Order: sequence, then structure tokens, then C-alpha cells
Amino acid sequence: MKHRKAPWAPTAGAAVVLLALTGCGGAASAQPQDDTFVFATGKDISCLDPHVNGDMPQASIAANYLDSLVSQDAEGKIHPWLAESWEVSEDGLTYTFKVRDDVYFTDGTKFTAEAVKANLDHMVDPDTQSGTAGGYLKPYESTEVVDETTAVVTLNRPYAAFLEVLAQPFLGIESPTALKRPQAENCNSPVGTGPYKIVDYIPQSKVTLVRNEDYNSAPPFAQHQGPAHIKNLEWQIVPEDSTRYGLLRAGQVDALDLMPSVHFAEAEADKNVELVLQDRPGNPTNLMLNTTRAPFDDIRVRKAFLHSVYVEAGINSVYFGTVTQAGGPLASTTGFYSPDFEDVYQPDPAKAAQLLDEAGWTVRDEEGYRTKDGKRLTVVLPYTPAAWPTAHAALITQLQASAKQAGFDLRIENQDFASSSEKYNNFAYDLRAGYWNTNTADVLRIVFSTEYMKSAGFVPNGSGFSNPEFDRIVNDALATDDPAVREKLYYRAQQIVSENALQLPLYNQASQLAVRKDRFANLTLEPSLSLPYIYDVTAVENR
Amino acid sequence: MSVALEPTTAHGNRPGVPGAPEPGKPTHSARGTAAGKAAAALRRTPIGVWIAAALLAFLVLAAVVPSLLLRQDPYIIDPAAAFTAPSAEHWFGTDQNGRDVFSRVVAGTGQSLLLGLAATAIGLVLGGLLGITAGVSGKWLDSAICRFVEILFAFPGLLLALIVIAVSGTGVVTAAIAVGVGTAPGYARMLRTQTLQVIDAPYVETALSLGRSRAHILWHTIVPNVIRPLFVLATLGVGQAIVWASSLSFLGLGAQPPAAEWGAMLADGRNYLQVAWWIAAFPGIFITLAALTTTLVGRHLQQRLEAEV
Repeated sequence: MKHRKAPWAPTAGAAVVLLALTGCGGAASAQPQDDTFVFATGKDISCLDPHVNGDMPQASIAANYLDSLVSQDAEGKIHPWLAESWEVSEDGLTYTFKVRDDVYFTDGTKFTAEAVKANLDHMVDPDTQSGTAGGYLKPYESTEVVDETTAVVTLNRPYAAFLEVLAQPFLGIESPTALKRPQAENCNSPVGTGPYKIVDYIPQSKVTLVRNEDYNSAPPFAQHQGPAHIKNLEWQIVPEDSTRYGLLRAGQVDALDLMPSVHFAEAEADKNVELVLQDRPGNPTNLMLNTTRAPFDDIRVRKAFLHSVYVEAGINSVYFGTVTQAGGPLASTTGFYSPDFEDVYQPDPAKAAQLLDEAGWTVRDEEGYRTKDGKRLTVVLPYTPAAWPTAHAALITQLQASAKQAGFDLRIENQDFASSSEKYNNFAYDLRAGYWNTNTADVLRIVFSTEYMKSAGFVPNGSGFSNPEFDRIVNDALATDDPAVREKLYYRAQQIVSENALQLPLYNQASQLAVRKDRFANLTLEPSLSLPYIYDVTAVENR
Repeated sequence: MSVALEPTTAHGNRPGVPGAPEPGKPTHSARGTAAGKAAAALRRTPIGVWIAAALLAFLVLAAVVPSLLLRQDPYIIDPAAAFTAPSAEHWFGTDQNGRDVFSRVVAGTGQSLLLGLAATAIGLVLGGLLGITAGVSGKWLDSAICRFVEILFAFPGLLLALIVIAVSGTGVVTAAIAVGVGTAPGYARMLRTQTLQVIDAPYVETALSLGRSRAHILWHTIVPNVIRPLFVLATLGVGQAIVWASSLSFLGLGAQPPAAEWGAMLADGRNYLQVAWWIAAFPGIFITLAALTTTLVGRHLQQRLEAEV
């Protein structure tokens, strides 16, 4: 598109004045350009390097500047990517990767087997504080570099989900040269072999990326080879739901994620907007019940809580039915998911009352809360509103109200992210809001097994559940390739989680993107975690 | 005495307030009996102040006996009735959880006004202690306090409040203390000036020459003369404190869910502005009204007082 001058001058002038009057910051971008794709993400990115920590916003942007060792297709099958081929030893403990010989990082470093070792070692290094990637690699022992294109990875136990997690952007391959820099520096400017490279990062504001002109390592799920179609990629951080959507409507951004549910109907009716929706596999959005302290150390109180809250009504009202309600420990899109656990805990005030009576919470105080030995039935939920969609905050307020009917004093304590993270990592809560997106049923081991009660960075097992039978089952499931055996084991694992009332499942995590289809086409989702994939995006002609 | 009472903490909304009397307008015309004086004073009260006083009376009523005005339980959730537009049944509509916005606004009045009053009281006490101490002590202690207050002044008041919250955690009580601390430097500086003026007044000299002890003079002569204008100042400060306390709740640092607090309601509603403007608009209007009415009435009282002296 050419830059148009005179006819627009008054409008532009008026816009500038209006911006000045309303006190809005930021650049009033003139006409949108077809060589720049502006994506607005709804959640702040703590560190651009997805090895560190490991929250979804990091993986989202990583999918656009990092390649992975292997790739996964929409059916869940594993394909080559930076690794051309691999062999797995009979005992499942040794993976021999043959990697490509013609790929370079955007800082000029050559991609070799040495880079594989540097990356895996970086993820498991305690200093990296890698809750997600490092968490996935607990079975990782070491990597031996045989020659420039051969890396032998040794595990300390069979890990059937190893290739699947390697396909996730959380485990994307970064330049070993860049990784040697101090962590803070690498957080701001990580380097990959991907279709885009990071040129600038203004924390809490935006990341500027530019096309990697030498890109030659597109994955099998991509629709073309060579450099990306769009030259510039701007990744804006816009946490305010209504602002993000307003920017899309006004044409100041071309796409957004975390599409606000309240605007779904309007967006669907908008001929310029297309929604890209996909439920994600893993452990659904939930409230985790802390079993390591009173009152949720008592299974009767946990069950009573699950029977006392009305999730469905909340989802229908504040989410307008834009998310899929979840009832069991696995999202319905996860492999080995069983629907048998969806309806185990229906709202049932009579049952909740009976369970609480049995547990000794028999007296109600003047405000209607149950008490035991003069102590009120209080459960604390440390909460950071900025980390969640607007609708989520409304939903938990509704849960608070329904829990009150049963006699629970559910305290939502709003605080900043650092404060809630600290409590979340030290079991200093009764309820914890969370989710775990991953492309395998092995998520059960991550979120509920004893091993994950401790972690560098984020602690995945927030219920503090520790059960030898469960631990054995989820580890056995990794030691076999037989789907029938795995299915049986994962069924039992889901059953144990459900029986023990460890979390209140709310709804499936989902990628909910909106894109301006009058400007750009072909915004797809990378298949491992359903994250926005800009590589194949094309500008719409003659707009 | 009048110069020291410039309401520097009152957002400078002095000029241009509709119906507010001209600053410095002479109000000495009333003569004769006390009753005549009072009647004349009432006649001189501009219509804008009357309106403000009436609205304020309504807010106080809502704060003291909310049950008179409540139409529904402000905490009852009804997902099926979420996002209902204002109607005869729901005067201000319903919010995202189907709660009646009018009832929540009424229920929130008490908390907002109380927060405003408590924060102002805390600010006054802290500022008063610092200011009067500085004013009467002189020399190095005066200097020390003045420098300290100047350091506090370097921080915007709201930032000071945020620091208090960061240290002591969120909640209504902390919010009141935080806002109080945030406003204290302003009060301290004004009270110091006020104290210095009173100290030089002839009646203090008289008391000294009568042989009264310093403590006696401080308590019976200086403090009363400093305190009287202070109360007027306080009414001006309440409006500001309400806005600040709401700001903290808006940021999620004050009142916690499901509390019906205006700032928190505003924050809840802001992402629904395009589809349900009433969720945020009404609490917003009431924050404005509360701040405006207390400030208008306070300013009027201040002018009356200035004119009397």
C-alpha cells in the first residue's frame, strides 16, 4: 500500500488531537502497512526466552522465532524438524538424533549437535528456573555430542512423551552463543533459527521482530518454505481486554489473542474479522485445592467444596458459552482423555452439607459461614486479576458466592503477580488458579505426581498430592509404547485424581484469536500447543 | 489569618466550580443579632452549595442506613440476569454477575465515605503531629521535620500510598492508612505555617506573660486555634481521600471481592464499557459526586470561616 498524503491529513490531525485529549499514549500509527503484521497479546511476557519459567505468552512468541528439534502434526504424529531423524534404544533410555547440517541461528552461529546439548543442559540447569521445559526434562540425564550432526541423549528412565514435549516451543532451540550471555540479557534478546528474529523488546509494551531472510528450516506443518511472507512482525502487549479488542476494531492491530468473550458475538458478525478457535490439550483451567494444609487436607471438605460451586452457570453467563466446560483432570482434546470423570462432582448442596457435617464443620456463624471449634471455614485464593481474562475474575466471584451458600468463606485476595507467585510456589494458599497446556496425557504426572511438588520456578503440583500408586501408574505409562496399556494406565490415573478431589476443573484452555481478514489471511495455529503461527500469513491483495 | 489555608491538597478545583462563590468575596455584611447573622449566612449560601449539601445528605443517608435505599441484596448473584440494562426493576442495571448495580452503589457508599473520613483523619493526625511539633519546637527539630516532609513531598501522594500498600499488603484498613499517609505531608506543611502564625499572636504572648506553662499554652491556646481551620481543611480533604481510596480499589489493592466498593466496581466494569456501560458508569458518577459535593461544601465552609475571622 502506498502512503496517501493530502486527503487524509485532516483526519490524521483530528486523530492526533483526539489522542492528545484522551491522554492515550503510544504512537498513533498512520495507515496500516501490508509488510507489517501487528499482533496484540493479552498477557505480559516475563522473559522472552521460553526456557526460563515457561508461561504461555513466552511459548506464543517463541513459536515465531524458534525452531524445535522435532515437530508434531495436528493428529499428534511426530515428524523431523531440526533433527532429520532419530533412533530410540530398545530400553527407551537413549535417543540418537541426526540433526541438519545447513541451518544457522540469526546471530550467525551454526546449528549443530553441540547446540542440542547446550539447550537441553540450559533447560535443566536450576539457575534457569525452568518450571515448564525443565519440568518436562526431569527424566533427562545428559547429552553426548558424537560429531557435528549426531547427538545422543540419555534419559534416567523411559519417557514415552519425550518427543512430544520436544515439539513444543517451550523447548525451542536457541543459539548456544546467545545462551552463554547472562540470563537477563538472553531474556530480552534470545536468538533462534526461526522465521523471525527479535530486534527490540520494550518490556510490558512490545516486541519488534523482523523476517529471517535466510530461513530454510520450515517445519512439515508449514505451508511453504523459505522466508516468511510478511516482513515485519510487531508483538504488542495489551493486557486490557476491551482495549485490545478496540485496537483490532479500529484497525490498529491485525490480530489478537485471548479474545474477550463478551465481544464474541460482535466479532462473529463483523465481516472484517475472523475468529481462529481451538481448544488446547492438557490440564484444564482450574482451581487447585491445597491438600497440604487445613481445611482441604480433609477429603470430605474437598469433595464438599466441589459439590458446592456452580461452574456451568458462570461459564454460560460471563463466558457466554465461548469456552468448553471441563469436569475431569484432562481437557477433552488430550490423548487418552476419558469422559467418565466429567460429571463426578455436580452441584449438590445437600451432599456438600452432609460432607461438611461429617467433617465436623457443623455450626454456622452469624454471617452464615460454617465453623468448627470456633474457627471459620475459610479458604484463601491469592489472585492476580491482571494475569487472567476479565471473565475469569467474574467467574471466581460467582464461585465465591455459591461456596458461601454451603458455608465456605472463600477469600479472593487480589495481589500483584510476584506476591501470588511466591505463595503459589510455597503452598501458602488453599486454592490456586491455574492450568497446564501440554500435548500429552503425561500432564497428569506433571500436575499431580510427588516428583513435581518441588521445582525450580513454578511448582506444577499445586495440590501437594502425594500417592505412591498414582506415581507408579503415571511413570509406568511412560515406559511402554503400547497404546492399549497406556490407555488403561491413564484411565486409572484420571480416576485417582477425580476420586481424591484435587482440583475444581473449570474449562478447557483454548486459543481464541481474532484476525482482520480484510488485511491478512492464513493465520494458522502451530499444532503442538495451538499457538498463533505467523510464518504462513499473507497480506490480502487489493484491500 | 487566611493565607495558610490554601487547599493545596484539594486538587485545585477552586476556580470554575459552578455556583461556588468568588474567592475572597467579602462576607462581612451581616450585622445585628446572632439569629440575623445566621439567616443572612443562609441567604448568602449559593444554590450550588445547596444542591451539593442535598446530595451529600443523600450519600450520608445511604452510608448510615443503607437498608432504607437498598432494593436488593447487593451480593446476591444471578447469572441468568447478568448484563441487564437499567430498567424499572434494576435502576442502574445489573453487572456481569447479575447483581443489582444500584444496590451495590448504595452498599458501597458507606465504605467509600468511611474510607474517605478515616483516611483524612489519619492524614490529619499524622500531619498534625508533624506540623505542630515543627511549628512549636523551632531550630533543628523544625528543620529536621521540614526536610522529612519535603522528602515525602518528592513522592506523589498516591505513590506514597502505593508504597504503604506494597509494604503492608492489600485491604480496606491498609488502604485507609495508605491514603492517610499519602495526604499527611500536605497537612503537616500547612499546620506548621498555621502554628507559626498562632505562636506570634498577641493572645499567646498574653498567656506567656500570665505565666502559663508551655504545655498548657500548647494544649489550651495553640492547638484549638490551629485545629479549627483544620476541620474545614478536612472536609476538603475527604473528597480527595475518597478518590484516592477508590483508585486503590480500582487497582485491586483496596477492597477485595465481592465487596461493593465504587473503585472496585469501576474496575470490574471497565472491560464491559462497550456492551454494558452502566456497570462502570454509575460507580464512576458516584465517586465524582462524593468528591465534588464534599469539596464544594468544604470550600463553602472554608470561605465562611475566612470571612468571619
